[in-house]
Amino acid sequence: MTDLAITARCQNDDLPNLPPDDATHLVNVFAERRGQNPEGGEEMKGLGGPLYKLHADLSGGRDIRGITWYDRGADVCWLLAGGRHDVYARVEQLAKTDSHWPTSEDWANFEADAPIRLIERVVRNARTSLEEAMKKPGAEVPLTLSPPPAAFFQIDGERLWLRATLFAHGRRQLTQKQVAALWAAVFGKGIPQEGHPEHGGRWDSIYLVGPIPDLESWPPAKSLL
Amino acid sequence: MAETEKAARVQTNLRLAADVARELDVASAIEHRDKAEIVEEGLRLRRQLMGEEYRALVEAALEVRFPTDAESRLRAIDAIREGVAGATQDGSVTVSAALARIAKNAKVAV
Repeated sequence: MTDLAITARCQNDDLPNLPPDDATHLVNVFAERRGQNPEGGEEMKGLGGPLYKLHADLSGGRDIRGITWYDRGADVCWLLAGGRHDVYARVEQLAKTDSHWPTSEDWANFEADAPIRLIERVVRNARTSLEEAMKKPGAEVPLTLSPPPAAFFQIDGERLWLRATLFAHGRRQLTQKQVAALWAAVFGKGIPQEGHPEHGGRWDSIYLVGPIPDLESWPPAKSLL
Repeated sequence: MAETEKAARVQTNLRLAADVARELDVASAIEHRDKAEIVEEGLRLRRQLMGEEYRALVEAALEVRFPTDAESRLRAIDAIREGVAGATQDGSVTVSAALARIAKNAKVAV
């Protein structure tokens, strides 16, 4: 599942120039649309990438635009710029010095963000996975596979098991912070509990277990993200 | 055999699922380590992952997930970020952090 990120330049220079409601709307539209399809929208020609235009206009003539770029190798879609209609001209200007791309600092920060991105990915995908797991009790259903760690749901009676793999590709993939992130994303404010399935588990995985969330109220409203 | 003796017996011939056994083969080849040693490390890691500081991390993750306000959300985001060379404090590039910063700036502006 695609990760999402917003460059520091966009956060520091572009978003503060929009009214807060408009900036929030742009970020939410970015998360919703590019989370589903990282290469949607009209292509912005001549600047490499490819870059895509994101239209997030609001009623009352408020034009709100963004520019996104999907890095297929890293499976992440970046919001590179945001603003009014003139954002396209500004990005063309920035592109003359390659200043529109994520910087090395952005990439380092992106790596450091792994637990938060895991929460965001899981919350975006959890409902679909839980619905599928509820239809097939006893079967493992993928919750997130890439980037690591991989995690799976399994319904067992009144309980929901969450299995996350510790190792993949010959190295450790799961940190303590990511385990905490998984717990918070799936089970919320319940008491953290590690378990091990009675039918036997895998040595290369960690298991969290808790009550099955109520689909009526889970996951919480998008505005919280 | 008495029940207590049965319980005390240690299983040494682990039968692993085919895909797990392949993973273990790869890990062993890459790391030049004995497979049993890698399995032991896995079990040790599982214990560590749920150790003392885990509870505090869950609290931080919950604040990211169910924020009480923008500033505490940003603090929680910083608390559960990984240590990575070149990364900056308060430098999260996530959607969650961007929304919290917008909310924080809006509060300051008011």
